[in-house]
Amino acid sequence: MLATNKSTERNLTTHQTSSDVRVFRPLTDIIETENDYQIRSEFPGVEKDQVNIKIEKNQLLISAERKANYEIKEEKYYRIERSFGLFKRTFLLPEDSNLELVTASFENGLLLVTIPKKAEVKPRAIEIN
Amino acid sequence: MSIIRWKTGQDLLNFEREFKRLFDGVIPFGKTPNNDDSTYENSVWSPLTDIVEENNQYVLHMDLPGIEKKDIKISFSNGTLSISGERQLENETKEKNYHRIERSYGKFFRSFDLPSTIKSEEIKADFKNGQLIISVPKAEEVKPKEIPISVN
Repeated sequence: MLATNKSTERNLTTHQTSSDVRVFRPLTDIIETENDYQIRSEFPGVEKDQVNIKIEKNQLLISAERKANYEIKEEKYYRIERSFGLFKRTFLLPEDSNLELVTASFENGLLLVTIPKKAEVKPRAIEIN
Repeated sequence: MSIIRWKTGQDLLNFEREFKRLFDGVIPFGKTPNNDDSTYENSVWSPLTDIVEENNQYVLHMDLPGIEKKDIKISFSNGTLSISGERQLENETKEKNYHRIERSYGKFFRSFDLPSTIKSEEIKADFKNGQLIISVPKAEEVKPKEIPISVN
């Protein structure tokens, strides 16, 4: 079970958006459990109501605009390592995703989207008579 | 000669740190890790930080998404401000498939040399939405002063 399922791996990959505007991709972990897929994306410094989650067909789109919480005046800064602007990412969901039951939570700048698997495709043990 | 356990990637990480240290020593807010500090030696990632100077204070903005407030340790000693903690990957041992792991896990550590012209007893920290904001007030003598000039 530790080997990755190639078909879902392909499905869960992100695709590139062809846009002229600089768009950042939030760092994301994708984890599959027996019952669901979990997408965990980092949106530090963003308020909960600024995070958008959309499902279109079999695509999950997450986005948020991150604004700097300070103004840069007269070049009085020592380090700028963080990025500000639009953070956006799209995921193709596997066929066995139950799109009706997708849930999301946002805590400490971390977005967790849970996509349950459809019941019928859960692995089932078959006994030999 | 004793046998030392080799940690994957540790050499590279140490090299990067030493290289940064060469330059950080000469600029304000540079990192000054103490070699004896085990927190520093065992840390595996460094949170991204912005440092901005305002009229009355210096402000450090640090990204720590997905971390609980109680898991962040901030200390100030000998002019050095240190931030450390840990982000755990999983507590459960359930069977899981990891399709993508881009976020960093494990112990994190960062430290900065603060200017001497600060009020160290008035350093304040605030944590919200995975963002840590540390304000360091400036000492009175370095605050910019406006001197009005009367024109006749």
